[in-house]
Amino acid sequence: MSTKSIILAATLGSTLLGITVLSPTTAHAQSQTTGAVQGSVTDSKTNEKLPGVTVIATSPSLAQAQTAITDENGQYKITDLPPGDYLITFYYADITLERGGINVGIGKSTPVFQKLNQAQAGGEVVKITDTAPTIDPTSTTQGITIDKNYIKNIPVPGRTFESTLGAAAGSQNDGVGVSFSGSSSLENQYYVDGVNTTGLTFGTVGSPVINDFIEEIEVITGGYNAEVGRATGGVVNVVTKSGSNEFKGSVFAYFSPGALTAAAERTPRNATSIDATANLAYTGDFGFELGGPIIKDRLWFFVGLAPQFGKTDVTRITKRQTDCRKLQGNGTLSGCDAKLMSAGGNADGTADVDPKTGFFITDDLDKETRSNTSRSLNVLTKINFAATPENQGQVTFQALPGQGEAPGIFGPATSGSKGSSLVTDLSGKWTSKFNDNKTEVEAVIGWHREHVTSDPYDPSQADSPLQVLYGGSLGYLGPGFGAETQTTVNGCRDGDANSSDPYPYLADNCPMRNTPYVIGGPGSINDDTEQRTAAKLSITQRLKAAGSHEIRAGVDVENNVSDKARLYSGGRFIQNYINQSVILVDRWVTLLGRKGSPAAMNNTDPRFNDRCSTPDPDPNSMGANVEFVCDYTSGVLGSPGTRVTGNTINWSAYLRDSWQIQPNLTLNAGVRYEEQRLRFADFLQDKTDALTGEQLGKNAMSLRGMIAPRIGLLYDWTKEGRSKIYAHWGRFYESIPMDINDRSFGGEVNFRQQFAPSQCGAADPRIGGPSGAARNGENCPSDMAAGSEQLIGASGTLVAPDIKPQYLDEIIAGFEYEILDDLKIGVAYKNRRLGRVIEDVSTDGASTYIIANPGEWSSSAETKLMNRIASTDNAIEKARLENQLKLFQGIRVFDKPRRDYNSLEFTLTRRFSKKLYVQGSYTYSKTEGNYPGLVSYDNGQIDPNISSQYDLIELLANRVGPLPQDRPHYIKLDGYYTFDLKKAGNITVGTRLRALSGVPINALAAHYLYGGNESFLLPRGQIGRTDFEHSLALRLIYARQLSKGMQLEFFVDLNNIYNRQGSRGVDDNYAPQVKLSAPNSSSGTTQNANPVSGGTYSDLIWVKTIDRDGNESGTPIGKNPNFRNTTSRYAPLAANFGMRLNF
Amino acid sequence: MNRVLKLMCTVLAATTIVAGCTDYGSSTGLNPDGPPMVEQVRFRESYKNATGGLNERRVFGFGTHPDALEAMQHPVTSARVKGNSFRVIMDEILIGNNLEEVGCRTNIDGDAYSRVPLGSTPDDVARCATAQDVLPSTCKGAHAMCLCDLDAGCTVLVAGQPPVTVPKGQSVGVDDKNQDGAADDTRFIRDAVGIKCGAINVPIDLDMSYWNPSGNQQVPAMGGFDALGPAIVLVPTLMGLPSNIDCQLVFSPDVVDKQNNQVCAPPNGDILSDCTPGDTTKVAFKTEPMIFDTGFTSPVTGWSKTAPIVLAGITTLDPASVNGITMTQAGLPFTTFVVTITNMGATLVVTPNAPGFLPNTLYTLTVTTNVKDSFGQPVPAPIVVTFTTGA
Repeated sequence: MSTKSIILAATLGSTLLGITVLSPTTAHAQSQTTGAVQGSVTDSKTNEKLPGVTVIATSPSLAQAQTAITDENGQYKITDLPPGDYLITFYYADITLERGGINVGIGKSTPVFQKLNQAQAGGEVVKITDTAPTIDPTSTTQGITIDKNYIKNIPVPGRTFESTLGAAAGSQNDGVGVSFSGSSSLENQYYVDGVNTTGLTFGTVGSPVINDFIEEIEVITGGYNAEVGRATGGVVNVVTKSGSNEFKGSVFAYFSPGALTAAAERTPRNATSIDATANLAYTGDFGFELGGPIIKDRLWFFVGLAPQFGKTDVTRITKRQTDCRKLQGNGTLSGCDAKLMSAGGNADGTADVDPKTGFFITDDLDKETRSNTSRSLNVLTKINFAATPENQGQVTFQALPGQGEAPGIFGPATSGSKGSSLVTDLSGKWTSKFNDNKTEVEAVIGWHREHVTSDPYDPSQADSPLQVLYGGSLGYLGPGFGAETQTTVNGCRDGDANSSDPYPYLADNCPMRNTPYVIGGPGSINDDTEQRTAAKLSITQRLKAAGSHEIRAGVDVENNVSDKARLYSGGRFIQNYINQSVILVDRWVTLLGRKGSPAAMNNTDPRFNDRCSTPDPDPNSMGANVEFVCDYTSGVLGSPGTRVTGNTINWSAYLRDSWQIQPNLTLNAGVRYEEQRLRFADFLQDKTDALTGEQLGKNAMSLRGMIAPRIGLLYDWTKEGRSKIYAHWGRFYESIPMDINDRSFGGEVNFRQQFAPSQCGAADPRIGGPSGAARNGENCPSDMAAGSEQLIGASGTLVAPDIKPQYLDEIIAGFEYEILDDLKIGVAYKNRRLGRVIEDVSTDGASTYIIANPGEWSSSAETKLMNRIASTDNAIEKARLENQLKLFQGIRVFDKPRRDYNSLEFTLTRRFSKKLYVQGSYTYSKTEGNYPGLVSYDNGQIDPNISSQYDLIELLANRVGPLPQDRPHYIKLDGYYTFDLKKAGNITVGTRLRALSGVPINALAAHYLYGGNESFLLPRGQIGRTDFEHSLALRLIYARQLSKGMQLEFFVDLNNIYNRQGSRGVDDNYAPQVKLSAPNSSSGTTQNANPVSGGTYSDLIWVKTIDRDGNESGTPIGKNPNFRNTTSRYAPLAANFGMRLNF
Repeated sequence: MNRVLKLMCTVLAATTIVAGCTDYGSSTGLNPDGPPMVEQVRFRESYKNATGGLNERRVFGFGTHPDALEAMQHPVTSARVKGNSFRVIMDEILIGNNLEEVGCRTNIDGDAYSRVPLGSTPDDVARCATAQDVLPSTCKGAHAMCLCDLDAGCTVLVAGQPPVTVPKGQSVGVDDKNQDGAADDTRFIRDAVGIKCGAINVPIDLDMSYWNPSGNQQVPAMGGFDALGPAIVLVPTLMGLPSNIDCQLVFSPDVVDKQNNQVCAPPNGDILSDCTPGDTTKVAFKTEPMIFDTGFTSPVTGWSKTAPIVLAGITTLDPASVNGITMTQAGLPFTTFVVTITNMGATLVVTPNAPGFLPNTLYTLTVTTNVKDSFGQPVPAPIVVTFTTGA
């Protein structure tokens, strides 16, 4: 058979040879790792449907060719295609037509519709190169597909897949990860090769796959159907590279030298004498990836190996305040003259302040660099096996061992820590097709494991507790602990006019007022393992009935297990408030029960002989304490009480139909059912709670009845696959991360003792100075009553009966239109609203915590409990239940958590053709409510579903407003263009532009029980926003063909090209927790403040302080000198370069 | 664009099964619509306990709260006259500038406190709280405060340097010893809010009284009902309140909310009811009558001939009225006064002159209605104490 090649540009495709590209008309959505090709074949002259056409898909990505035969309507679909470029061949009579340039993406059905001119029959092979429409008119899924070319040509800000996710419209970096469509990043789910690799404890990225091993990433930001669940954020599917029938691979190296990185701008902290600025020293990686056949057409392999290394230099600049300037008549400050004003100088005993910035003026004393280092190794291996074209399998193994060291910065380096981690993933997948490929079965099993350890930076500190010193001064901490340079020690020395102190009238030259000094050991010790074993099975059936249907049903099960360490180095953690004469000592303890309880009476274990007492939660106790029988957990790993286990079982089932009513009208309908069972730690199961008296079973919380319907309707008005107008509604349930297992269902009890310094031995001049009275918290006794004692968590955790799962509802409506070949635009309105939230609340003023749905409690559960009370004869039990009833009824008083995201997304996509690729979006959005989600951005807490946000009723005030992730305007523009230099190779220029609104600024204060930044003095966002920010990154790639199949590339990235280090965050803390009596005083008073409901900035002048015990006084609150100052900045201009040898 | 978003939200919510667009009601919200209303007033009352003893407790003397016990909420006819403080809880935020003034570094016009111009923010306070040398360039304009109003200028003492004389019209600076940019001290404005008992304007301790815009109707974990807010805290001076008299709260007309509405008090503090701006007459209470505690139950026998009789009153007495005490010996009036009455403020000590009371004799001491408290309020009815001396 002779071959005649005709290469057609896409724009000519509709006329030549009578072959026309038409719209897709069959159903959507493939598995999480593959896509599909679908369409129909018709006669180009008569439009007659052509049954019996053999359609074959081949690709380097595919082990064996996949075949389909058109049905009586001329339709076909080839599924289970790995992402990549395909050649589709049509055989009909003696016509052979090959169509190349068909790109298949994950979870997408690429429409390939053909018209055949039967008059052209003659045994020739007709070859065309064309593209298919980029619009999938059968799917409402929102998001973006990031292929390896995007990763290769766009200067993404990192080396692992998370760094690419920000390309999706409506996404942003929320400081913990990438969040989508107004959700917090911990609400995402991450899949690698179809296996859930989401971090178990918090929901973060569990397996950060290096970009060079990735074939394609599908980022779904909304509109997903019933196959996808357990996410109220986005879903990220990463498909790694696979082997093929050809040996292909690359050797690569990336390097970012600190020398090519602009210096990070200093972000000074007022009244703190150490500024820490992190600068990249270097980061880099190198490695290879190789795929090829083991047995051609049967068995392929892929292997990748890439060591990574990095070092960040943290420059500590020590500084001292000055007292030698005064304002001159012209508004500028005078020169420095440290003589008293009475002696003709400018000294007045108060620190100089820059009138423009409000910052204290300081002298730099010395500079010291301490370095954080990290090393890791990325390993990926994969085997693909094709028994037959219809029966294929895959096994993937990934490992990511890593190590790092981080010295202490605000204190001796020895107070830092070292750590190691090992992430391991193993997955297997099998796909079989039956019944002329109308039936497909897919089975996936997976295992994801993370192991993290931490050790002291200095082994000699392994047994030392971490001690945080508040309100000290480098004047004595420096020489006391020997961690500062001699220049700093000399510069901070306070003395009189006859001493070497240049500012003798300042009482404290080097205060550490706003940043504590940290000494001792590493604090919390980690030796944590968490692992998920998962399996899922799905079956897909295609059938005809009033149109065509693709019905898919599936089930999956996850067994999540955590095994964590719970201990402090030295057995305790110390907070020493030097200027308030208060020392707090925290210990993890194991409770046996109240003194006199049966559990305590029957105890024979000598370990339980430690002192534990706490205020009696009984409101009639008049503040008396109750004693518990307890054991202080040791600081030695493996000792009793230092390990806690957790277990959560998830399972789900779904059914969905993608019903193509008309060729250009599709209805997607599905329903998903999920359950989640969270279990108590092993040692708590079937025990009686030490305080609540609740009999504990195996399951701490069972969330059932999670029925999640999804429905979408799409219409293609062009009938050519170049448009779609669509609407979608769906409900999505949260999968609760396992932090709650550790903290709420793991018996976490902390014993806090508050000592007066006089109880803690002799004065320690290292901590309080030679004439100070401060003590070392390490000397505080454990066997005597402290000033106050409290067991935090000893109240046990109740779960509201009939608690309901957390969910989110979503509405999407929009359209996409291909206005030019390869260029589509889209507009989408998206509304996402949290319908219900799970959080812990306390309805009795922080005595007891209940995991509940704030604002609602089931009336049927109430009736049940009331009936139980009525039928209880035991007076003690009756009183206990009556108290519980009151506690549960109090849940209803709490505000219902709300988070409403409304957005208009305008997108523009020009797929790569004619050497140009463009991906852009503008999103206008509002994210409002009183609950940001699983990340507590305002106080930095990451405790999904058990944050402090809903703990106390008074903490709810002023929470309504623009949420921390609210950025009304967000512009993203990515693109690259390739210049063909002919024999000299080619140059590709890639850019990445980001412009975004700032985030809301709040005014926060401390709460008398919960500490800093818990009280919203003013409604959210009342203070305004951080600045509008923008940045531009550039990548230049020079590529040269060395030989056939071998290409060498060099590239250089310039990130943040105009070095705008804008403000990423500001200090929201209006009123510091300690109000000093004088600017450099060593004494101060606690100041807390309750919210001013609906207040404005002016009202803050009049807000009054509340003391440690919750008592209000007429004293106005003090102000944080750093309020609204920048706390973090965007990364500076940085260059990195590298090379890649492709073969 | 924002309108488009709202329209889309409304239309799509209406066409689907989800609820309507955002509803952000909060249990911690205030009630800024309409005039500012007094929702509750808390203060101390005297009451007799089950055994007849005199106790005191803090109650809702006006308005109530859903969590309050019955004993803690009722019209008060025995408000404590001494040591009382009044927490006036509002249903919305008032403009603090008309309730409090900030402390200045020195005397500016007879005292060292200054009104804060309307519209000032904490940034304006910070600009007027900076170091003395920086002050002229930062504390100026419409929001300047602590302006010297003395023709001779105002003298500011600065540590380590000669006194600085600030000319009239310039700021002496907000008192901010810890240099955190906030005023160290505020003081309640005289007559902004007062307590009027009959025709008596009760003296208010301006240093102890204050306005706090914080708080709402949810009872916090600590602090109890006395942490409800926003609230004006009124503390009478050591004179306390007059006894046995009807009292009301009086608000200056310039105490207003942010819409310039004057304060009113709805019936029973029910903020769902209407009230006329400026009318706070619904807040009414009566103070406790003057009583004296002798430490024993009259009549008593076997009284020591030299032991004084201590009459512990509830408030400071008018010294001139102390001679309103009479005494009889065996039913006969004294011809010669044989006791000395020592007035110790709220306590009278009746000491027999040497050689003391007669033995085995009945004495009757009467505090007549001529005895008055320091406000001139008389003892409502004569108080009679009888005792018989021993041998």
